Amino acid sequence: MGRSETIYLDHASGTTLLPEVKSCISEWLDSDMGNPSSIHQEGRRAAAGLDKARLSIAQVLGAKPGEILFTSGGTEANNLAILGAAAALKAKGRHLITCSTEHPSVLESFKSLEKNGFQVSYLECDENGDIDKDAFRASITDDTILASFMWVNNETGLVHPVEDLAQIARDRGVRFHCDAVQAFGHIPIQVQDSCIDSIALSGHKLGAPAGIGCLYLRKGNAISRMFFGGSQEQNIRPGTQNHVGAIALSTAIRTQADHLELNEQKYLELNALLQDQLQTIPRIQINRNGSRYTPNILSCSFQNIDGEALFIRLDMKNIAVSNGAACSSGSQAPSHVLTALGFDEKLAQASLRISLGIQTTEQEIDDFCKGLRQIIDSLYRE
Amino acid sequence: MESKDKKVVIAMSGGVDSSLAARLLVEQGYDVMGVTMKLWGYIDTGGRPTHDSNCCSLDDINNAKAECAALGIPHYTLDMSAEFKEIVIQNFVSEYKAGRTPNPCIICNTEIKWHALLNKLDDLGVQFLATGHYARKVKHEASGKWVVGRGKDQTKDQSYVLWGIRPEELDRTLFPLGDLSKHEVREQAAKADMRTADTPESMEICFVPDNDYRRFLSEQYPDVIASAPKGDFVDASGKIVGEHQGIYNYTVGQRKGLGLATGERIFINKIDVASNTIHVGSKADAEASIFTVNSCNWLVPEQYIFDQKANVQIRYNHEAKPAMISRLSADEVQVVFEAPENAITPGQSAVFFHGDAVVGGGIIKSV
Repeated sequence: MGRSETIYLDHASGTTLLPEVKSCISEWLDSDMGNPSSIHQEGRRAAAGLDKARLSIAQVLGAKPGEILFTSGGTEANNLAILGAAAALKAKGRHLITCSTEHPSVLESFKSLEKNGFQVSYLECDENGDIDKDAFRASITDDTILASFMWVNNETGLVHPVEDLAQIARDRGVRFHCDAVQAFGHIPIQVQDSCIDSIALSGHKLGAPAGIGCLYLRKGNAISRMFFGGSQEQNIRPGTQNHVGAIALSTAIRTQADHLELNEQKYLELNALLQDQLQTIPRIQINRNGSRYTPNILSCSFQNIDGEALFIRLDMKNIAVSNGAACSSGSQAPSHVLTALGFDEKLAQASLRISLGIQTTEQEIDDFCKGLRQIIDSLYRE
Repeated sequence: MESKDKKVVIAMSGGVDSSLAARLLVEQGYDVMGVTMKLWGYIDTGGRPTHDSNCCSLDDINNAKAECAALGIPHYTLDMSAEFKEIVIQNFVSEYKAGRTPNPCIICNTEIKWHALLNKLDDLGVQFLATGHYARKVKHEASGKWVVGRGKDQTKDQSYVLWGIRPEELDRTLFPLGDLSKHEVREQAAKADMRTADTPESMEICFVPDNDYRRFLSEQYPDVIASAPKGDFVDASGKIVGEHQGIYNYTVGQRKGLGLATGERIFINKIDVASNTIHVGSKADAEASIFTVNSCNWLVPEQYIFDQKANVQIRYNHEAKPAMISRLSADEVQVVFEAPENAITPGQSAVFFHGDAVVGGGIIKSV
């Protein structure tokens, strides 16, 4: 089918490289790719770039450079924090707590621990996705060693009160991990006064390339390594460091943090425009009745529509939005997040996650809503 | 070229046939998109394949995707596994339970690849469906109707499995490979450097990848097996000659695996569900001329079919033979072969040809 210009509203899946990132990595791409662990000049240059990146991220988060571990992305950071903490703390207890609407990189980590002798409590959320703090408090036992909650849900944009949850965990001596992949750039994150012990971040959600991420790990919180073969990254994450990726990530993190307020104002305006226009589409259901949302993500659903047809139609119009996690075959699996909120499979399939980027324009939102309306009209007519 | 009428979905299995069909459509100027239907998963079928070369495996879906990417056309995976399980697998199980021998590929073509997929195409605003079958659309001379016709490559012809396409669905169908031989398809695919050029032929039932339907039934439908007790093998004289292991294990015409030591070549010629009895006899005992057919689909008006002769094909690898077709009731047809045929098997399809043209077909009900 003909390819015109894409209306790209899938920035929460992967967003455009920031110009700041592009310009800072271009000089590195032209140089010899020294290994940061090598003793020669090119190695030292790479190591210096890596250290600078680490320092920069630490400054933005209010952390110490030694608390930043580079990983291949958010999935690895979540895996490392959860599996590594469970392994390090298993002598202390075997009970873990998380929530049913977490990202698969968190949920699947817990499922693998369940197969290895740990007990996991998956907290239920209400029909909007909100977590009850008292339910969390009540689920903690003397055997609990780790809790993990995402800051912002990747499919609905719902903000969880992770600082409060972390305080509850701290009071009971429970380690607290937070998947903040979708939060950074929308919510100011400062670790000094926080009770959160570890935080996962991912580059390609922030304007850096995919393949780089980091784990903030508060000093004094040991985790066991999951990979072997080198002493890089505090002896916790071996393997030659991706220093160019780290530099890209640090630039993206700093740029996002510097522009957070300005960006957020823009996102709020675009979100208001988007909601206004969506609300005029017949039979739309906007999934936004929870306590608080980031303005860059909006989930909506359509009753009695074939989700597969809806997404193919959108792609035929060159509109890029997303459903739940695409399964490996490329067919759309119903979102586990929406089904956890009580959606039936068909409604979950006929749900869109629209996510805005800092490049998104009002024109794109107009065109998107126009295109979506045409598709919905014709699907209901048929 | 830009008109909506030229939009085509090509159903792609990930093999060479449908991949080349996609390429030919693009070359002919159609606005093409590739679709692979996910029909089942190994989790539902068992069979533990040692290699990943069957339809609906990830490798095949990825092959289809890659061929589409090479052509610069979109590819989508449609999850039709619920419909497939409900219609095709249920029919497969209930037919064996009823002592019949189903052809699930035909039910799948009729109800999934054409009927359900065309419904999806309506939702997508796409008019045409193409497949990589070796079949053509030909004009039935007497009625002037377009019908399914045999593919040019007689050794690969698949018109037998396409009798169930409804006339209005055939109008929306394209068969890009109808005029090609398998050899030509492989040659063209190799010339275009297609990654699927050497993909192996799939011969088995896709959801029974190990080709062991008894294993499939006993693993996936143990209740069916539990309700199929052992019973008697009975010869032409009515004498009990042995014990069978439950009727779903057997098919008409079967010789091997009966466990009967009678000293002569002995065949199954009838499965009687009501009495849980299987009738065996010589090859000649298994021959018959007259049988009935139901669940019919007609591609030409009935006046061109009834009380007239047609060539009737009763299995995928059977050479169609002349027979007289007559109507018994609203949904039942009688076929009388000019000469007796071996192993006319209830559950299999009978397809009616006028020359190379399929004029209709149905499921063999009783012999």
